[in-house]
Amino acid sequence: MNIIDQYLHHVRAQLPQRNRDDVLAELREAIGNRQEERSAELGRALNDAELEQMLQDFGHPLAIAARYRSTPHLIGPEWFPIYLFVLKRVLPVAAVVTFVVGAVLRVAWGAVPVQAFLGATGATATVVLAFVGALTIVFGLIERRVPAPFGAFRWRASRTKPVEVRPLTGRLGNALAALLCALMALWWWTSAPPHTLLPTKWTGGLALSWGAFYASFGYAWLMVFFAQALMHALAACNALSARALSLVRATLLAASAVLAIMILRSDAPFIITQGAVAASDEQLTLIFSGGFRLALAIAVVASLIQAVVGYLHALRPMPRTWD
Amino acid sequence: MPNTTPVHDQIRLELRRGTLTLAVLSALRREQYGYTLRKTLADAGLAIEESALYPMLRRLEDQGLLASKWRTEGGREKRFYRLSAAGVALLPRILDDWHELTRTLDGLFAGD
Repeated sequence: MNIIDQYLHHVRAQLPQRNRDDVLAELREAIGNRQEERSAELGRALNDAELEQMLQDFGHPLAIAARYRSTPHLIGPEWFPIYLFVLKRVLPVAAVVTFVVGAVLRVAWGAVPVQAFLGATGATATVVLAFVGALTIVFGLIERRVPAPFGAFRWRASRTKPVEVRPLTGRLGNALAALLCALMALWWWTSAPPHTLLPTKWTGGLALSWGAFYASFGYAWLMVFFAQALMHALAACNALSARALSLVRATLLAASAVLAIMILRSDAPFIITQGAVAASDEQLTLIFSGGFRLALAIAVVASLIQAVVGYLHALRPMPRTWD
Repeated sequence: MPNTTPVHDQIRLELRRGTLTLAVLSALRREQYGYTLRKTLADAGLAIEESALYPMLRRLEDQGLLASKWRTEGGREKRFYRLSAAGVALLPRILDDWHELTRTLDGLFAGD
């Protein structure tokens, strides 16, 4: 098998069934012409390296075959908005239902809440992935079998809801929700017992230790939470410009990242076991502690990226808006 | 071409796509195979990759504007293309569309 046959074999595997051999014969002709042209220039036959270079210039087999595909996309531009609509509407509902039902059933079957939470989270992740996959396959089939229906529909003004103009409510709602979260964090930080997060009967003997957090920079964290609450409160009453808000948010993110890095560098345990626990729980403790460190490390990276983006956003000239 | 940007390249590509179809149809009033067709177009200043030309020829044939047949020439099997009867009938009308379009655009540009 020479190198051109080898190349064409790879193209053939990607070609649609219809006309496959015809297309292949034509490509062989085109490549043959190119080869003749090239060897006429050189005044001799091409060696393997030159042939390979020529085929590389001709194009990757995947790219060549793709030109002959009648539907180069999985879901085309006409069906895609419908696909996205179904995904956005149904996926959150499916996820919430799976999580709630999964958690409730696990508790009813006798799992402790932490186990139930972890199990339901895993089940939800599985359902989300399976749903996205199945929906994509279904729409992929529809794309190939059913013509998009828009030709049959007619847009009627009388059938659509009148548009309500609601300025700022989205931003106000977001700001209020963020303020509420910041206040809750503040309340919890100042009132939670310093060494356990959840009652031990809920967690089956494992307890998250805030020792490391409080021992190092407890007051610094308190200030970050307080500043966050203040920032969200100011944002909610529109007292900050977009630029100032970006700047403050980025600074707070950077500060939390620095604090989290300092915690990561200290050796204090994050998870301690309480009460009488079996020796096998030692391993569980290690796993949880490791997981927690990993999660914290990811949060640090994410916060730093967000902070940098925030600074860039704050420093670049703001575009004029229409309103 | 110097100083092109990705957006510029994309718009040029879109502009070329429609006009290349017209150029190919026009060049195939005379029977040619892929290689000579490419040379004809290249000599006229319209270079086109094989990987773009061959699928276009196939599409035009599927649309009934071209007819093709395999024939041995110079010791190798080659596929020769030329306008079909439908293509011969359609080409002058497409050319009219083209002239109409350029006239309209020239009128628009002259307003600057």
